[in-house]
Amino acid sequence: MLRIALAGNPNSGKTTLFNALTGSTAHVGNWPGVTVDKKEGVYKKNGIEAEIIDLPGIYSLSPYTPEEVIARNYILEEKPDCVINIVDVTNLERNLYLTTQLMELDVPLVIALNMTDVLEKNGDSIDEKMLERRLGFPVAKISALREKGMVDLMEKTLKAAQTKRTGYTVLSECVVGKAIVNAENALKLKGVNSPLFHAIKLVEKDELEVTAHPAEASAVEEFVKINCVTDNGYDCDTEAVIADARYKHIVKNYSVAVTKAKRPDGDEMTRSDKADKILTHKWASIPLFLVIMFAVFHVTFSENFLYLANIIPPFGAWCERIAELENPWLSIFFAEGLNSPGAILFYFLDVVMSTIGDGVSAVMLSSGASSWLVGFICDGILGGVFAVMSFLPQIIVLFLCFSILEDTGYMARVAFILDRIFRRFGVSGRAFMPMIMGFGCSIPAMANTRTLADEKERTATIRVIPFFSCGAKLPILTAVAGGIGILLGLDGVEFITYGMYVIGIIIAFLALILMRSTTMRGDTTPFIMELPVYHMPRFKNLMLHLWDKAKHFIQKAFTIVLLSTIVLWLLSNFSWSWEFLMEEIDGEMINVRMNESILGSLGMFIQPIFTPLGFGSQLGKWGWVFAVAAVTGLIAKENVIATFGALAACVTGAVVASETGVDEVWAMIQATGAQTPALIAFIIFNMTTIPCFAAVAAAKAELREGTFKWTLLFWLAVSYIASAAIYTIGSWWWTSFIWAAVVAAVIVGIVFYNKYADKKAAKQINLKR
Amino acid sequence: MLRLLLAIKPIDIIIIAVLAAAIVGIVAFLVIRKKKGISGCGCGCTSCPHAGGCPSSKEKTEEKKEDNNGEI
Repeated sequence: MLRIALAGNPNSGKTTLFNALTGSTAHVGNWPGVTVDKKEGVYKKNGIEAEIIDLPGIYSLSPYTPEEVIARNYILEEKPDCVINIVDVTNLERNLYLTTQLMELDVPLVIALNMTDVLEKNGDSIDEKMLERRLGFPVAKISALREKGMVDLMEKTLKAAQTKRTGYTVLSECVVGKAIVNAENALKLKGVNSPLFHAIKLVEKDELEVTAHPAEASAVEEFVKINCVTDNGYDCDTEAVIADARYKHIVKNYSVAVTKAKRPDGDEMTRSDKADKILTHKWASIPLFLVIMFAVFHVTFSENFLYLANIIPPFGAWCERIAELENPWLSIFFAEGLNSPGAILFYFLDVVMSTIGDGVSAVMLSSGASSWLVGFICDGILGGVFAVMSFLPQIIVLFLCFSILEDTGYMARVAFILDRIFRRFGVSGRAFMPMIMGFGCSIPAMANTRTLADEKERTATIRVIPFFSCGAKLPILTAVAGGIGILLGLDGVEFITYGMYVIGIIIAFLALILMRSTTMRGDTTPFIMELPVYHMPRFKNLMLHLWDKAKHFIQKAFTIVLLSTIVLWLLSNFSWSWEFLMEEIDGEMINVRMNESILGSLGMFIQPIFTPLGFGSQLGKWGWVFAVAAVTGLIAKENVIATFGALAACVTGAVVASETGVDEVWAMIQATGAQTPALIAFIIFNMTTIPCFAAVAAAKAELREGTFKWTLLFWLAVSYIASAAIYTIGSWWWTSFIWAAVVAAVIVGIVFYNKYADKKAAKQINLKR
Repeated sequence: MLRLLLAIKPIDIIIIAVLAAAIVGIVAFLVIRKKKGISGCGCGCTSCPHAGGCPSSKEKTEEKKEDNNGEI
C-alpha cells in the first residue's frame, strides 16, 4: 500500500485534510501544537488505496522542537512514497519556506493549496498553474474543510508517487552555493540518501547533521572561513544567509502567483487582528479572561441565568412563586430565577433518576425483596452511580464551552497573555498550553508537555497539571459547593465553583513559581507562537467530541463507579468478623453500627491524618466518610461523590435515603457536621492531591527516571499544606499571621538556596577551567 | 452473615444472581478493554484533540499494527 505523509506548517489544515481523506474524526484544534505525534489512517476511494500519515506541524526541517524532530525523522527515515505539503494559501510566503526545504529531498512531492475558499472570500486569487510551473511539481487547489479538490489531489499524488524524483534547491545562486555543491558531492560518495538536503543542513550547521557527518562539517567550516561573506550583514552566519536566500527566492518567484484585491487605504487589519487588539490587550486581557471563564461557569451552573430575576424584579417574584409550588418539572426551569442551560439539564436528569430510583425501590418492595437488599441496590448502587451521573449534563456543558474556546482560537491567546506575565518568574507561555488542556483531562495534557524542550520545565508542568481541575473533579466541586451554599444559605453556587477553579489555578501558579525558583531552575524557553485566525468551530466536530465524552463518562459510571459502590456497601455493612450490621428497628433494616464495619474502622484509623485539614477527628463519628472518599478518589475522582452517595443513607440514618442523587450527598454533608472551611479544604485537597491511577500512570510514562517518586511526594505535600492553610485561616483568622511568617521564611529560604546553588555552580565552572 | 443467609428469600436470590452476572460482565468488559489497550483516561480516543500524543492511543495503534502484521 502507498504511504503518503502530510507535512506543513501548524494550523495549515493537515489534520482537517487527514480527516477528509481517511474519514476519521481526529480532532482539529485551532491552536498550534494539537498534534504532537503522527496519526495514521487509510484512504480507500476511486481505486486508490493509501496509508495516510498526519505529521505534527513544522515550520522547517531544522529540529528545534520535538514535533519537528518527529516530522523530519519520519520523512527521512520512513521514506514515504509521496509527501503532500499542505500550504495555507492565506500565508503563502511563510508556508513555502518549508516547501523550499522539502523540495531538496529525493522524495515525490505534491503541494495542496489549502484555504483557497478563505482567500477567495477576501477577494484575492491564486494562479496555481503558474506556481506549478515555477515549482516543478504538481499543485492541487483544495479546501480541506469543505472537502473540495480531494479527488484531484489524490490523483496527482498517485501519479507523483509512481515517478522517481531527485531533489533540487533554490539556493544555487546563493553565496554559499559552492559550499553546498562540495558537501553534496562528498555525501554522494558516501552513499547518503538525499545528499543535497543533508549538504544544505551541514552548511546551516544543523546539529544533527554535524554530529552525523563530522568530516564534511569540518570541510564546510573551512570553506566558509576562507570565503566568509558579509553579504546582507549576516557575516559568517550561514543559517541566516540561507534563510534570507530562501525568502528572497519565494518573494521573487512564487508570491507573484497571488493577486490581492484592492483594499480601502489603511484597512490592512483582518477581523482576527481587530479582535486581538482587545483580547490580548496589555491590561484588559487578564480581566477579560476571568470574565469569559466566569461566563462559562455561569452558563453551566447558574440558577439565575443572566441575573434576570434581579434585573426584572417582577420576573424574580414570579420565579419565587413557581418555586413555592414545589413541582419537580417546573423546578427544572426555575429556581431563584431562570436556570442556566447546564442547571436545566442537571435538574432534568435529577428528576429522571429520582423517578428511576423510586421506581426500582417500589418494584423491589412490592415483589417482596428483603429491605436490606432494597437498601443495597437503591442506596448503595444506585445512590453511588446516580450521585455521579447527576453531574453529566454540567460536565458536558462545561466541556462544550471549553471546546468552543479552544476551537475558535481563543485558548492560544490565553497562553500568549500568560507568557507575558509569568516569563519573569521563569515560566514560559508554552507551558500553559498543556495546563489549559488539563481542564479536560490530565492524561493528554501530560502527553502534550512533549512540546516543552526544557526537561525541568516539563517536569514542573506535569506536576501542576492535575491542579487544573479536570472533568472528573467537577462533581466534587459542584456537590461540595452546593453543600457550602446550603450551610451558608447562599444562592449562586457558580461563584463558589468558579472560586474553587481559580484557587486551583492560583495554587498551580504558585507551585510552578516555587519549583522554577528552586530545584527546577533553568532557562525560560522562548515562546514564539502563531496566533491562529479566529473561526467558528465546526458543529459536527464539537458534537462528535461531546458524544464521545458523554459516552465514556456513562461507561465509567456504570463500570468502575458501580463496582466501587458495591465494594463500599459491602465493606460498610459487614464487620471484620463478617457480621452483618443492619438491624431491624421498628420493622425497618437500619445500619446503626457503621463505625464497626470494615470500612468504618479503616476510615477511623486514617481519620486523624486529616484533622489538620478540618475533615478528620473533629467531625466525630462520621468524619471518616471524608477520609474514605478521598482515598477512593485515587481510583477515579468520580468515586469521591459516589462514596458520599453510597454511604449517605447510613450517615443520615435512613433505610432508603429520602433524597436521591446530589440531594442525598448534600444531606449527608450536613449530617456529618462539616463546616465551610473544612468543606473548602476538602475540595482543595481533592483538587491538588495525587490524581486518578490513570493520570499517575501517564505521569510516570512522561517523567524522567527518578523524578516520579518526588512527584508523588509533591502532590501529597501541596494538597496537605494548601488544605491545612485554608482550613486554619478559615476557622481562626489570626493563623493567617503564622502562615504569612511561614511564607516569608520560605521566600528567604529560596533566596539563600539560590545563592548557595549559584556559588556551587560557579565553583564547579572554576574547577573545570 | 448466617442471620442474613437464613432470612434470604427466593426473590432475593434472583436479584443477587442478576447482580452477580452484571458484576462478572463489567469485570470482563474492563479486562478486555485493558488488554486491547483502549483509552487510558476513560474517554474515547476518537475525536480527542490530544490522542496523537496519548500513550494509550499509541499502544492501541501499535497493537493494531501487530495484529495486521505491520499492514493496515
